[in-house]
Amino acid sequence: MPARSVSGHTRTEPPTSRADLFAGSGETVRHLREFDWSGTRLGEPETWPGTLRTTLRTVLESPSPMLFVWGTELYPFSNDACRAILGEDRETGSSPQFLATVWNVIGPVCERVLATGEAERIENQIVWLERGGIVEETFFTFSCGPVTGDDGATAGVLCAFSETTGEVRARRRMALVRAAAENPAVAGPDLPFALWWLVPGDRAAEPEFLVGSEVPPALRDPLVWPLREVAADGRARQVGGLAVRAAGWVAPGTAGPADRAHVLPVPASHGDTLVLTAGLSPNTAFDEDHLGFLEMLATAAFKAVLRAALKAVPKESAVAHGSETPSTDTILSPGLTGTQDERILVVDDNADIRAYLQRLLGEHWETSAVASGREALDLARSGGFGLMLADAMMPEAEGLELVREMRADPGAESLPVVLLSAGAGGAVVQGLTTGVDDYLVKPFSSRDLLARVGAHLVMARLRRTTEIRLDASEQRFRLLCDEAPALIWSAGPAGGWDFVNRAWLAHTGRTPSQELGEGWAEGVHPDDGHLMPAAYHDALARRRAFEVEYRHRRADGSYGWLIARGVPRLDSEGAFAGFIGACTDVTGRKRHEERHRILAAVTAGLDAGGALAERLGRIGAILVPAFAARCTLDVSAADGGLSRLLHACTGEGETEVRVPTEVLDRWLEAGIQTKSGTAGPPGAGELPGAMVSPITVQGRVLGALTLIGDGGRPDYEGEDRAVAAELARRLALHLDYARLLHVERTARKAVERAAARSARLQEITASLSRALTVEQVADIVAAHARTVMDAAAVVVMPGAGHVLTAVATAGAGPGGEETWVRQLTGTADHPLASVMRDRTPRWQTSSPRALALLPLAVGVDVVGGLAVRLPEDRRFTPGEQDELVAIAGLGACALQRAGRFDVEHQMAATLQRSLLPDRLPAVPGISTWAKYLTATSEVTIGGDWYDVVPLDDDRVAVVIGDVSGHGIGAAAVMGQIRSSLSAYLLEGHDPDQALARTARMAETLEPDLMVTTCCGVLHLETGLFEYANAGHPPPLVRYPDGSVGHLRSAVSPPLGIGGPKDYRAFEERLPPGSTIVLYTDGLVERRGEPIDAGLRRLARRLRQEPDPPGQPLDQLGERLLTLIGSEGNDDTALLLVRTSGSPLTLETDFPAGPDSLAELRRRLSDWLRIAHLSKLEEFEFLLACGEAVSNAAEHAYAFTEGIIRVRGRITASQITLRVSDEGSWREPYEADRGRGIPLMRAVMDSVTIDATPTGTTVEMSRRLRRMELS
Amino acid sequence: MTTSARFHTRDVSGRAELIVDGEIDASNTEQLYEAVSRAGSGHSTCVVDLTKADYLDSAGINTLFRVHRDLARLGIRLHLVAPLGSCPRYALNLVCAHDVIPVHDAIAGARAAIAAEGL
Repeated sequence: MPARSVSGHTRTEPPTSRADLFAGSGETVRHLREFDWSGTRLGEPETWPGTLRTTLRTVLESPSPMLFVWGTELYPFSNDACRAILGEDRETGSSPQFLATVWNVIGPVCERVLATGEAERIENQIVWLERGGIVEETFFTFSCGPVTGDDGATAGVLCAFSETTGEVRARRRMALVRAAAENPAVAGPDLPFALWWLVPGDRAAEPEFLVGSEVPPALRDPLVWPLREVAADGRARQVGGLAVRAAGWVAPGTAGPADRAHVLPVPASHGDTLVLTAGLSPNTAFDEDHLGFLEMLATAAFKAVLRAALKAVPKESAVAHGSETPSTDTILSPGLTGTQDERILVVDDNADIRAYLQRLLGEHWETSAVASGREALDLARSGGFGLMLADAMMPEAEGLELVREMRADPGAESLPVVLLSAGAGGAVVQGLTTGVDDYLVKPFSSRDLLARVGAHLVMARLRRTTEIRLDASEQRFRLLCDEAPALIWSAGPAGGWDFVNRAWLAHTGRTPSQELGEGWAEGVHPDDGHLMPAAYHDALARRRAFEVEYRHRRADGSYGWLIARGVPRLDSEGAFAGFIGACTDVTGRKRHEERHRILAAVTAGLDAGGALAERLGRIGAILVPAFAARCTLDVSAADGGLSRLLHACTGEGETEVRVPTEVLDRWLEAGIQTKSGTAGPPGAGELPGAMVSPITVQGRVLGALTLIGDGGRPDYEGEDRAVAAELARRLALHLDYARLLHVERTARKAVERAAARSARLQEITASLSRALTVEQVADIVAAHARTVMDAAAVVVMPGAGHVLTAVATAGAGPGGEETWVRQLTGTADHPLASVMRDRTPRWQTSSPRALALLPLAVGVDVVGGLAVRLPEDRRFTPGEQDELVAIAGLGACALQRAGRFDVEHQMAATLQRSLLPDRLPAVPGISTWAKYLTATSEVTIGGDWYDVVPLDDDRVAVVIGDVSGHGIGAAAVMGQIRSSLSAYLLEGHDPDQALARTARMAETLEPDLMVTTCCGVLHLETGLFEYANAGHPPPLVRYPDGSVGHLRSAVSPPLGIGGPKDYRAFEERLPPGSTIVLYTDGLVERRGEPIDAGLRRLARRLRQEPDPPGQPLDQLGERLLTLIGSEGNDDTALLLVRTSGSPLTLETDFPAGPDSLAELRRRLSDWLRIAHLSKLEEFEFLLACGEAVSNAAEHAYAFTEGIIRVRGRITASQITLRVSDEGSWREPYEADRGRGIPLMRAVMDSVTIDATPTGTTVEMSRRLRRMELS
Repeated sequence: MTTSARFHTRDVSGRAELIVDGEIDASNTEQLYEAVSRAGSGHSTCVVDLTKADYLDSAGINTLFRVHRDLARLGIRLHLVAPLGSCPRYALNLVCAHDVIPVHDAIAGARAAIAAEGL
């Protein structure tokens, strides 16, 4: 890779000084600046690796919360944004509480990321955070990506995270609200408990528990709660001290007891109030959202609570069971008074309904109630009843069956029967043919029931009267009729009416003279002539009973519905005497039924599905014209005005319905705009022909439903207004639901977009961490920019002469041939150049297409530029801008790193070969073994080193050392320190002197250099080991007896940090067979434990391992290396030096004679083993010594027996042998003999033969060749 | 303890091959002499194969020179085989034995040389 990468005027370096690195005014940087780093593993910031400093700078400047973990020891850094998560009042360093909390989650992830180099992501991870005075249940999404170190290996982990508590909580609450609509007894992490109470409007009645989730009995006590107070003023309250009451009970899904609850009133009918007591989670702060959630919950659960309440304890409102709307009319009309002498038999198997009916009827008549048809029949036979009111559906005998039996029974055949039926239609027809006098279809209004019961009682009496032919009592009859609550009339045989009672006159507001004869027919609605007069005349002609429903004008001029019934009257002779009839005003019932139909239709229309606009349109068509001539739905708009979501009115023959979808969408988008107070839109008061019902959501008015009648309609009355209110309530629910759905959808989309972006950024982080060269990085950046928004992207870098060069293009045509790419690079005047100068992105929407120009900058250093061009002319969305800035930031870091890597990679590879000793010199008298394990396989270069340097005589120097840092710088320094130290030792300096001199040299190398090293000189003969230590972990010694000790020394400063240089020498005498273990900290250091633990572990392992003297050291060495932790992210050097268990000198004697030669060679060979000789080298000594001994045997003792002495000595550099006898040598006498001495001279460096009369001594020595052990 | 060496003889079409297995020093040079002269007798050529000899000192080399001279008088040519890098070859090289007796790296080389002589 050519070095044009990051050269020239934009040459970039990480911030070097502490002030630069920790610049700024934030709390975090202030702390980091003032922190005393000298005592930490990281050391002073000035010595930190470039990547650490660069990345840290980025993290500290980041406005979003980030965590940065460095090195195998996982040293964590956070930024101010992390601090913000915990609130503002934190004073401590790097947000330790947050770190400690999230560490359990991301610690293992970081370790994995460090090990694999692959990015990881954890979504919505629960984190219990002490925040705002509570242990809060929070959620975070973490993205952890590898950070590549100076050497190209993964050296740290960058964790970006975002809090998702709001989203998770909102989703969960939404689900809870939906569940509550089905079953109000819900609970969960956001709602420790929910209890529903009924506070009756009647102050004499006690509040009672309706339904709720599981709680300790103490909380089910109504006295615990301010139920009355809340119901009285309709204002919510909070109750505390519950933890004590509930004896510390902890609800499932929460951490800690819920001490507080929110008490929320929900008005019901009859002045009753439902009260929700909702537990407040101890892990969430109570805020506006929380309140909104509880209100929504109360609204959603309202009906389900009522249902549950009715099922458990039927209340008055339960009478109209099967009804969607509570029947509210229990008010008796003041004008309706009845006679008290008529008994009514009530038959219903439901005790509550029996009681209700008795209470209702009891105000006018005496009642008896039975539960079964059998009892009813018995009572009916006994007589004394004017009417029977029976449920059509009873388990024992159905109402119809009962009627059939009664009609067949002489004692009860004439008793009028009114059936209460759940349904209309066929059953009614069947009932009427069976002999049922009337039907009331549930739900019925109490007014309707009283009117009908009254009418039937009167008619029954009339019938009885005619039957007993009491014509003399006509006057009494009329008096009786006048008292009756029904509208009674009678007619003569010709059909002309001859009597109307007082109630009739009151109803029509006319005089008897106006009504009698055919006058009454004037009151019939013009459209209903075919009904009433027609049915009457038809019945008259046939002399048969009739019944008809029609509209009749009332006193106020409006038309009301009447049910008119008439039966023929017979005179005492049994001749037809005319008709007697009764009319009941069923307007209320008719309108009730109509309202019911409309409500049902609206409900069906809302639930039928489709878009909100479609549903609203449907509602408009249902309400107009059936319920109103005009219907509008207005909601508050974001601009403070009103948005009309629905407009429906009766037009020219057709109903016109408008739902402007644009307005609707705008409203959904803007969210709910509420108005304070409960009034609807201004100008719409309580008009008789108009209803304005507030659309209320969670207690807040967001609009109004306006219904306007017209002249032809009767005025709206209370029940209409109740229906309108109910309509408004349902519309509100649907609007709110639609909006919530919209919000949820929008949120989900945003989350999905954010997740996709996060995933993409993670992907690019991972890709970048694998990229080594500038080209690779640029390609990735450009490709990602293209993927994100289908745009063309170009990465440029400064080239020669201040001109930009395109390094990578994506989507810009083959080779970036397009004009705009050429424009980017052709000149130094392009806007991109100024963007790079200003280090500020520029978003151009100028034609023809949108163009983004971003600097690729790390801090103040600009590495390059990124240009992205959209395929169309539009603005870059904020999301796209964020993402491009992020890509540019990541790309810049990677580019900077790759630029250095390109250069360093080659140099490092070269240096590595020259610096790392892969063979050790063979030194007689000691065995050595060494291994160097690098942290990564990418670049096998680091700052650790070891050395074995044979000195003169019998001394050998051993060195272990560690230069802080990795990569090219550390390697280069290591090389210099290593040769310097060796040189001083070779010159004969003692270890302490050598260290002091090297330290002085080190200070000239680099200002912020730190080197720990331990060197020693081993005396081969004596086993004396002199050593000195410069801040290095103490070497260990394994003694021949298996015990282990430290080579202790005073604490001395490492080389190169500018401290004092008074290194002290220490010494220890090592018995033969001792093993010195020299290592660097990679062997003993593990993240999260003190180094002492690693030292103890090493000592223990050393004791346990068998290490017999003759055995090669590699077994021991490899076993010790397994101590490196699995994370193994630091370099490790291990050097073993074992002093020989065998002596370095030889003293052995032989009887003279050739037979000793074999034994001589055996002993010599054994002894020489410690010298690590090659086969031929050994042969040289065996041969030389053998020749000398042969000579002695042959020459000195040719004819006598004698002793030959062999002495040997091994030193670091040579082996000396001496063979002596006590005889005198003779000269060789044969030509082909006498080759012994030349051979000795040939294989030895020096041979001296000292022949004296008393004996001959041959002294031979040979320097050792620097054979190296493989 | 006496130095031990074993000798194996192989007669192959007019030449003798003697394999020396063990060490040769002053204590067993006579055995070497006898083994070689016995093997060579009745042949035109005798090959002493030292491939399996671990040790050879000046006494051994002297003996080889001596037996070479004695066999030559009988018209029997002596060849030596000692692999490069072996101790005997090192010792032979030190005294320039190949000036007197042909020394081959391997038995195959010796046979080829002998075959060439015979032509």
